[in-house]
Amino acid sequence: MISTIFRAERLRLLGSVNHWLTALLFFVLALVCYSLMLSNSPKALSQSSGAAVWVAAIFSILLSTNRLFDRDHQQGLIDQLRVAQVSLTGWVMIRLGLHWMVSGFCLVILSPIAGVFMGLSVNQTLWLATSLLLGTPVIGLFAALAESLSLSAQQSAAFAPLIALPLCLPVLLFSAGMLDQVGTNAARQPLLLLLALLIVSISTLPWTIAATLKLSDS
Amino acid sequence: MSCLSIPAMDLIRSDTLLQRLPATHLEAGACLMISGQNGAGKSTLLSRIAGLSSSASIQTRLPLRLIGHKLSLVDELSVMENLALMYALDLKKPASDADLVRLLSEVGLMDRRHQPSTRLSAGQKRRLQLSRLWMRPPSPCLWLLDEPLTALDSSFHQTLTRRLDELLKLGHGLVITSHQSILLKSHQVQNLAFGDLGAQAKLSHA
Repeated sequence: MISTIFRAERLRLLGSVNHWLTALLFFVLALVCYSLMLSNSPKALSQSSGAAVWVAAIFSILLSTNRLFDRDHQQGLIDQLRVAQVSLTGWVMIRLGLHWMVSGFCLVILSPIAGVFMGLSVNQTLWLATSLLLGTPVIGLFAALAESLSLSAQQSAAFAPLIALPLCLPVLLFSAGMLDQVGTNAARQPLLLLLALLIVSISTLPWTIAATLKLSDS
Repeated sequence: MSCLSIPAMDLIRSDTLLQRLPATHLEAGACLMISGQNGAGKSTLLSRIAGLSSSASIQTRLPLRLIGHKLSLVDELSVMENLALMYALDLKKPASDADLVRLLSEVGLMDRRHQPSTRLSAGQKRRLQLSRLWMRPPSPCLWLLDEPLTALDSSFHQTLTRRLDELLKLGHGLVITSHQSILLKSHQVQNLAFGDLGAQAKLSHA
């Protein structure tokens, strides 16, 4: 049964290429604009590049996560999963895992391109990619939590990013700390904190999201 | 064997008393028809029975199947893929192509099987949902049907009624809300008539 659900979710992702490709394009375009505007001062560009990439990444993920559970809720798929006594947590994990493959993971793959725009060294680009690899799943999970919360409060989809953004701040701060100190030993500490944040959120948030999805029905 | 027991209780949704329910028991192989005006709480009762919103006092003893007014279709999937998903959820095993083809031909959607489900008409979407009635579960189930006749044409109406009678013979339980009458051959039919908001619902045996 899990294999059928996985297959359906995969097909579904392939069917909604437009939606997630828009978010990736948004990321690339934001960075192109940013590097164009700072093209006269390469030093300022490469110094601020980490921050710029991360801000673009967060908004790109929030954009692609927008209304993630809306249709499942309205069209009753969540009801059917619950009546069939399928683990909602498992379904959330499959859904978010696949969703991360086309959002966060694609950003990791795109980050070397961003590095070229921004005039980053190979080493800096590697650290940037690492911070995205560790940080984007956390952002995705928090964004999904915000989406599931906004289901129960009707017509408040606009609030979901507002709920998610403050929760994402630690990720931003740790990544900034990491990228500030690239190449030194001091960069290891924020890296480990980011890793800890990732482990904690992967091992708790899917349950929280599933529980919130159940709440939205009553 | 009783497959559903609802104690005498008040049906409440967001602080509004919708209906006072009499104690109701449904045997396997019997049907409970719920009738009443819009907003009287019929769908709320179904979702309580389905266990979607907490109501510890309602007991069900068969696997549940809910065919609600929500069509539970995934827009990005084709007709056949949607059915494969529902099949896996209902029977806990992957569907074979032959099974899916049989189900689709029962409801007359064979030539539409590779189309996206968004291209179906309202009645065809409803048929696709109802094709779940033709699956062959290993043991009887309790079916919760919310307005199953919505958007259906009269010929499928009869096909559906025949299938519901077959299910009753096989020992399945049925709970149906409907504004139109469904004439079942079975004599094991109880009617639960919802009255005005906050009134006492009346249970009668047909």
